Amino acid sequence: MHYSGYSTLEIRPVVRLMIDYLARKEILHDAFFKKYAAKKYMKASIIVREWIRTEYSEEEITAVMTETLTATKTQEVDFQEPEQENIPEEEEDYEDEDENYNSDDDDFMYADELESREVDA
Amino acid sequence: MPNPSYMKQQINLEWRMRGILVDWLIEVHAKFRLLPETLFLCVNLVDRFLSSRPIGMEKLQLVGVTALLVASKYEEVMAPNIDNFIYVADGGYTEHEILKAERYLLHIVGFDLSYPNPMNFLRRISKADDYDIHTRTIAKYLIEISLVDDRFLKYTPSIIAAAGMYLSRRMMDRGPWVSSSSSQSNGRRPI
Repeated sequence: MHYSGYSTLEIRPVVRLMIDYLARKEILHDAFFKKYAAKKYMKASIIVREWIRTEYSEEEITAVMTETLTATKTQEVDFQEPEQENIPEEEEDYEDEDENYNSDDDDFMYADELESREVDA
Repeated sequence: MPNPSYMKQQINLEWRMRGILVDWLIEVHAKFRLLPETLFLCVNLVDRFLSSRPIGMEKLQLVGVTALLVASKYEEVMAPNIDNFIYVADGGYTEHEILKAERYLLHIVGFDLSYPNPMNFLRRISKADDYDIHTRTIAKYLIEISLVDDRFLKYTPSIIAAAGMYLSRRMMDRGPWVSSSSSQSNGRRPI
Protein backbone atom coordinates (compact mmCIF):
# COMPACT_ATOMS: atom_id res chain seq x y z
CA MET A 1 0.00 0.00 0.00
CA HIS A 2 1.53 3.21 -1.31
CA TYR A 3 4.41 4.77 0.56
CA SER A 4 3.97 3.18 3.95
CA GLY A 5 5.57 -0.14 3.09
CA TYR A 6 2.72 -2.11 4.64
CA SER A 7 0.30 -4.37 2.84
CA THR A 8 -3.45 -4.08 3.26
CA LEU A 9 -3.39 -7.39 5.02
CA GLU A 10 -0.96 -6.12 7.63
CA ILE A 11 -2.89 -2.99 8.48
CA ARG A 12 -6.28 -4.66 8.51
CA PRO A 13 -6.38 -5.43 12.27
CA VAL A 14 -5.50 -1.81 13.07
CA VAL A 15 -8.15 -0.49 10.68
CA ARG A 16 -10.66 -2.81 12.32
CA LEU A 17 -9.87 -1.42 15.75
CA MET A 18 -10.35 2.11 14.47
CA ILE A 19 -13.73 1.27 12.98
CA ASP A 20 -14.71 -0.52 16.16
CA TYR A 21 -13.86 2.55 18.21
CA LEU A 22 -15.75 4.83 15.85
CA ALA A 23 -18.83 2.67 15.58
CA ARG A 24 -19.72 2.94 19.28
CA LYS A 25 -23.05 4.59 19.84
CA GLU A 26 -21.76 6.86 22.58
CA ILE A 27 -18.84 9.23 22.23
CA LEU A 28 -16.22 7.81 24.55
CA HIS A 29 -13.84 10.73 24.74
CA ASP A 30 -15.57 14.05 24.73
CA ALA A 31 -12.65 16.49 24.49
CA PHE A 32 -11.09 14.44 21.72
CA PHE A 33 -14.31 14.48 19.71
CA LYS A 34 -14.82 18.22 20.27
CA LYS A 35 -11.31 19.08 19.21
CA TYR A 36 -11.84 17.48 15.83
CA ALA A 37 -15.38 18.79 15.48
CA ALA A 38 -13.94 22.31 15.08
CA LYS A 39 -13.59 23.99 11.70
CA LYS A 40 -9.84 24.06 12.18
CA TYR A 41 -9.89 20.29 11.80
CA MET A 42 -12.53 20.37 9.09
CA LYS A 43 -15.03 18.75 11.42
CA ALA A 44 -13.17 15.49 10.95
CA SER A 45 -14.82 13.73 13.87
CA ILE A 46 -18.29 14.60 12.59
CA ILE A 47 -17.51 13.61 9.02
CA VAL A 48 -16.07 10.32 10.19
CA ARG A 49 -19.06 9.63 12.40
CA GLU A 50 -21.41 10.19 9.50
CA TRP A 51 -19.38 7.95 7.28
CA ILE A 52 -19.40 5.17 9.82
CA ARG A 53 -23.16 5.50 10.21
CA THR A 54 -23.74 5.03 6.53
CA GLU A 55 -21.28 2.19 6.15
CA TYR A 56 -21.64 0.04 9.22
CA SER A 57 -24.09 -0.79 11.94
CA GLU A 58 -22.79 -1.43 15.43
CA GLU A 59 -23.98 -5.02 15.30
CA GLU A 60 -22.05 -5.56 12.12
CA ILE A 61 -18.88 -4.27 13.75
CA THR A 62 -19.33 -6.40 16.84
CA ALA A 63 -19.79 -9.44 14.66
CA VAL A 64 -16.64 -8.74 12.70
CA MET A 65 -14.64 -7.94 15.81
CA THR A 66 -15.73 -11.08 17.60
CA GLU A 67 -14.80 -13.09 14.57
CA THR A 68 -11.35 -11.52 14.45
CA LEU A 69 -10.79 -12.00 18.14
CA THR A 70 -11.68 -15.63 18.24
CA ALA A 71 -9.57 -16.21 15.17
CA THR A 72 -6.46 -14.53 16.52
CA LYS A 73 -7.02 -15.41 20.18
CA THR A 74 -5.82 -12.06 21.41
CA GLN A 75 -6.59 -10.68 24.81
CA GLU A 76 -8.83 -7.92 23.56
CA VAL A 77 -12.02 -9.67 24.56
CA ASP A 78 -11.92 -7.85 27.89
CA PHE A 79 -12.35 -4.54 26.21
CA GLN A 80 -15.34 -5.41 24.06
CA GLU A 81 -17.84 -3.65 26.28
CA PRO A 82 -17.18 0.03 26.83
CA GLU A 83 -17.81 1.26 30.33
CA GLN A 84 -20.89 3.37 30.60
CA GLU A 85 -19.44 5.75 33.20
CA ASN A 86 -17.03 6.97 30.63
CA ILE A 87 -19.68 9.02 28.89
CA PRO A 88 -18.75 12.65 29.18
CA GLU A 89 -21.07 14.96 31.06
CA GLU A 90 -22.68 18.18 29.98
CA GLU A 91 -21.36 19.88 26.91
CA GLU A 92 -21.73 23.40 28.30
CA ASP A 93 -18.54 23.07 30.30
CA TYR A 94 -16.44 23.59 27.23
CA GLU A 95 -18.33 26.22 25.38
CA ASP A 96 -16.75 29.41 26.61
CA GLU A 97 -13.28 28.10 27.29
CA ASP A 98 -11.54 28.07 23.98
CA GLU A 99 -12.32 29.37 20.56
CA ASN A 100 -11.10 26.07 19.22
CA TYR A 101 -14.21 24.56 20.59
CA ASN A 102 -16.85 27.19 20.27
CA SER A 103 -15.71 28.97 17.15
CA ASP A 104 -18.58 27.48 15.24
CA ASP A 105 -21.77 26.96 17.11
CA ASP A 106 -23.34 25.04 14.29
CA ASP A 107 -20.91 22.25 15.08
CA PHE A 108 -22.63 21.69 18.33
CA MET A 109 -26.05 21.84 16.85
CA TYR A 110 -24.85 19.31 14.39
CA ALA A 111 -23.50 17.12 17.15
CA ASP A 112 -26.83 17.36 18.95
CA GLU A 113 -28.59 16.35 15.83
CA LEU A 114 -26.35 13.33 15.53
CA GLU A 115 -27.13 12.35 19.05
CA SER A 116 -30.87 12.65 18.67
CA ARG A 117 -30.62 10.49 15.61
CA GLU A 118 -28.90 7.83 17.64
CA VAL A 119 -31.80 7.70 20.03
CA ASP A 120 -34.10 6.96 17.14
CA ALA A 121 -31.91 4.23 15.79
CA MET B 1 8.21 0.98 23.96
CA PRO B 2 5.42 0.47 26.49
CA ASN B 3 4.18 -2.91 27.54
CA PRO B 4 0.69 -3.36 25.97
CA SER B 5 -0.65 -5.14 29.03
CA TYR B 6 0.92 -3.04 31.76
CA MET B 7 -2.44 -2.48 33.45
CA LYS B 8 -2.17 -5.94 34.97
CA GLN B 9 0.57 -4.61 37.25
CA GLN B 10 -1.29 -1.41 38.07
CA ILE B 11 -3.46 -2.51 40.94
CA ASN B 12 -4.97 0.94 41.51
CA LEU B 13 -5.66 1.78 37.89
CA GLU B 14 -7.87 0.65 35.02
CA TRP B 15 -7.68 1.21 31.28
CA ARG B 16 -10.74 3.38 31.52
CA MET B 17 -8.82 5.85 33.70
CA ARG B 18 -6.03 6.00 31.17
CA GLY B 19 -8.64 6.89 28.56
CA ILE B 20 -9.96 9.72 30.72
CA LEU B 21 -6.44 10.98 31.38
CA VAL B 22 -5.51 10.97 27.69
CA ASP B 23 -8.76 12.72 26.80
CA TRP B 24 -7.89 15.40 29.34
CA LEU B 25 -4.34 15.66 27.96
CA ILE B 26 -5.77 16.17 24.47
CA GLU B 27 -7.87 19.01 25.81
CA VAL B 28 -4.95 20.70 27.58
CA HIS B 29 -2.72 20.13 24.59
CA ALA B 30 -5.25 21.87 22.33
CA LYS B 31 -5.65 24.72 24.80
CA PHE B 32 -1.90 25.32 24.84
CA ARG B 33 -1.80 25.08 21.04
CA LEU B 34 1.05 22.62 21.02
CA LEU B 35 2.38 20.54 18.14
CA PRO B 36 0.86 17.14 17.37
CA GLU B 37 4.23 15.51 18.05
CA THR B 38 4.14 16.75 21.62
CA LEU B 39 0.89 14.96 22.31
CA PHE B 40 2.13 11.65 20.93
CA LEU B 41 5.39 11.83 22.83
CA CYS B 42 3.51 12.78 25.99
CA VAL B 43 1.22 9.76 25.84
CA ASN B 44 4.17 7.54 25.00
CA LEU B 45 5.96 8.79 28.12
CA VAL B 46 2.90 8.14 30.27
CA ASP B 47 2.64 4.58 28.97
CA ARG B 48 6.31 3.85 29.34
CA PHE B 49 6.32 5.19 32.85
CA LEU B 50 3.25 3.20 33.82
CA SER B 51 4.81 0.10 32.25
CA SER B 52 7.52 0.09 34.86
CA ARG B 53 6.11 1.80 37.97
CA PRO B 54 2.85 1.03 39.72
CA ILE B 55 1.23 4.22 40.99
CA GLY B 56 -1.83 5.28 42.97
CA MET B 57 -4.87 6.75 41.30
CA GLU B 58 -4.22 10.21 42.80
CA LYS B 59 -0.84 10.36 41.06
CA LEU B 60 -2.13 9.54 37.60
CA GLN B 61 -2.84 13.13 36.67
CA LEU B 62 0.59 14.13 37.97
CA VAL B 63 2.18 11.62 35.60
CA GLY B 64 0.11 13.02 32.76
CA VAL B 65 0.87 16.67 33.42
CA THR B 66 4.57 15.93 33.94
CA ALA B 67 4.77 13.94 30.71
CA LEU B 68 3.18 16.87 28.89
CA LEU B 69 5.72 19.23 30.43
CA VAL B 70 8.65 17.03 29.43
CA ALA B 71 7.24 16.41 25.94
CA SER B 72 6.70 20.10 25.27
CA LYS B 73 10.20 20.94 26.40
CA TYR B 74 11.48 18.38 23.95
CA GLU B 75 9.28 19.15 20.95
CA GLU B 76 8.17 22.75 21.17
CA VAL B 77 9.98 25.88 20.11
CA MET B 78 8.34 27.70 22.99
CA ALA B 79 7.34 25.38 25.81
CA PRO B 80 4.64 26.71 28.14
CA ASN B 81 5.77 27.85 31.58
CA ILE B 82 5.38 25.41 34.44
CA ASP B 83 2.81 27.75 36.03
CA ASN B 84 0.46 26.90 33.16
CA PHE B 85 0.77 23.23 33.96
CA ILE B 86 0.05 23.84 37.62
CA TYR B 87 -2.96 25.89 36.61
CA VAL B 88 -4.50 23.28 34.28
CA ALA B 89 -4.14 20.63 36.96
CA ASP B 90 -6.35 22.88 39.14
CA GLY B 91 -3.51 23.48 41.57
CA GLY B 92 -3.66 19.84 42.59
CA TYR B 93 0.11 19.63 42.50
CA THR B 94 2.79 22.10 43.55
CA GLU B 95 5.68 23.22 41.40
CA HIS B 96 8.00 21.24 43.63
CA GLU B 97 5.96 18.07 43.12
CA ILE B 98 5.91 18.47 39.35
CA LEU B 99 9.64 19.11 39.14
CA LYS B 100 10.33 16.14 41.33
CA ALA B 101 8.04 14.01 39.19
CA GLU B 102 9.83 15.31 36.12
CA ARG B 103 13.18 14.04 37.38
CA TYR B 104 11.66 10.73 38.37
CA LEU B 105 9.89 10.28 35.03
CA LEU B 106 13.04 11.06 33.06
CA HIS B 107 14.97 8.64 35.19
CA ILE B 108 12.43 5.85 34.64
CA VAL B 109 12.33 6.29 30.88
CA GLY B 110 16.14 6.41 30.85
CA PHE B 111 16.20 9.95 29.44
CA ASP B 112 15.18 8.44 26.14
CA LEU B 113 12.78 10.88 24.53
CA SER B 114 13.29 9.90 20.92
CA TYR B 115 10.01 8.31 20.05
CA PRO B 116 9.22 7.36 16.42
CA ASN B 117 6.18 9.55 16.20
CA PRO B 118 3.22 8.42 14.04
CA MET B 119 3.18 11.98 12.72
CA ASN B 120 6.58 11.45 11.14
CA PHE B 121 5.23 8.45 9.28
CA LEU B 122 2.06 10.26 8.29
CA ARG B 123 4.14 13.01 6.76
CA ARG B 124 5.92 10.49 4.62
CA ILE B 125 2.79 8.60 3.59
CA SER B 126 1.06 11.88 2.75
CA LYS B 127 3.41 12.20 -0.13
CA ALA B 128 1.46 9.45 -1.82
CA ASP B 129 -1.59 11.64 -2.33
CA ASP B 130 0.23 14.92 -2.82
CA TYR B 131 -0.45 16.09 0.74
CA ASP B 132 -4.18 16.28 0.25
CA ILE B 133 -5.39 18.25 3.24
CA HIS B 134 -8.69 16.41 3.60
CA THR B 135 -7.39 12.87 3.83
CA ARG B 136 -4.56 14.15 5.99
CA THR B 137 -6.80 15.78 8.55
CA ILE B 138 -9.09 12.78 8.72
CA ALA B 139 -6.05 10.53 9.03
CA LYS B 140 -4.76 12.64 11.92
CA TYR B 141 -8.05 12.16 13.70
CA LEU B 142 -7.99 8.41 13.08
CA ILE B 143 -4.40 8.14 14.24
CA GLU B 144 -5.19 9.99 17.44
CA ILE B 145 -7.72 7.28 18.26
CA SER B 146 -4.68 5.15 19.00
CA LEU B 147 -3.93 7.44 21.92
CA VAL B 148 -7.26 7.25 23.73
CA ASP B 149 -7.86 3.57 22.99
CA ASP B 150 -5.43 1.28 24.81
CA ARG B 151 -5.92 -1.60 22.38
CA PHE B 152 -3.56 0.16 19.98
CA LEU B 153 -0.61 -0.07 22.36
CA LYS B 154 0.71 -3.23 20.82
CA TYR B 155 0.95 -1.73 17.35
CA THR B 156 3.91 0.26 16.10
CA PRO B 157 3.53 3.97 15.23
CA SER B 158 4.25 3.28 11.57
CA ILE B 159 1.48 0.73 11.15
CA ILE B 160 -0.98 2.98 12.97
CA ALA B 161 -0.11 5.84 10.64
CA ALA B 162 -0.53 3.58 7.63
CA ALA B 163 -3.90 2.31 8.88
CA GLY B 164 -5.11 5.87 9.53
CA MET B 165 -4.16 6.96 6.07
CA TYR B 166 -5.66 3.90 4.46
CA LEU B 167 -9.00 4.31 6.20
CA SER B 168 -9.04 8.03 5.58
CA ARG B 169 -8.53 7.50 1.88
CA ARG B 170 -11.33 5.00 1.82
CA MET B 171 -13.62 7.48 3.52
CA MET B 172 -12.77 10.26 1.12
CA ASP B 173 -12.84 8.26 -2.06
CA ARG B 174 -16.26 6.97 -1.43
CA GLY B 175 -18.00 10.09 -2.86
CA PRO B 176 -19.60 9.21 -6.19
CA TRP B 177 -18.87 5.56 -5.77
CA VAL B 178 -20.86 4.74 -2.66
CA SER B 179 -24.33 5.43 -3.98
CA SER B 180 -23.93 3.13 -6.94
CA SER B 181 -21.93 0.14 -5.80
CA SER B 182 -21.21 0.03 -2.08
CA SER B 183 -24.74 0.50 -0.79
CA GLN B 184 -25.97 -2.19 -3.14
CA SER B 185 -23.40 -4.76 -2.25
CA ASN B 186 -25.08 -6.75 0.44
CA GLY B 187 -22.01 -8.89 1.02
CA ARG B 188 -19.49 -8.00 3.67
CA ARG B 189 -17.26 -5.12 2.83
CA PRO B 190 -13.61 -5.70 3.51
CA ILE B 191 -12.45 -3.97 6.64
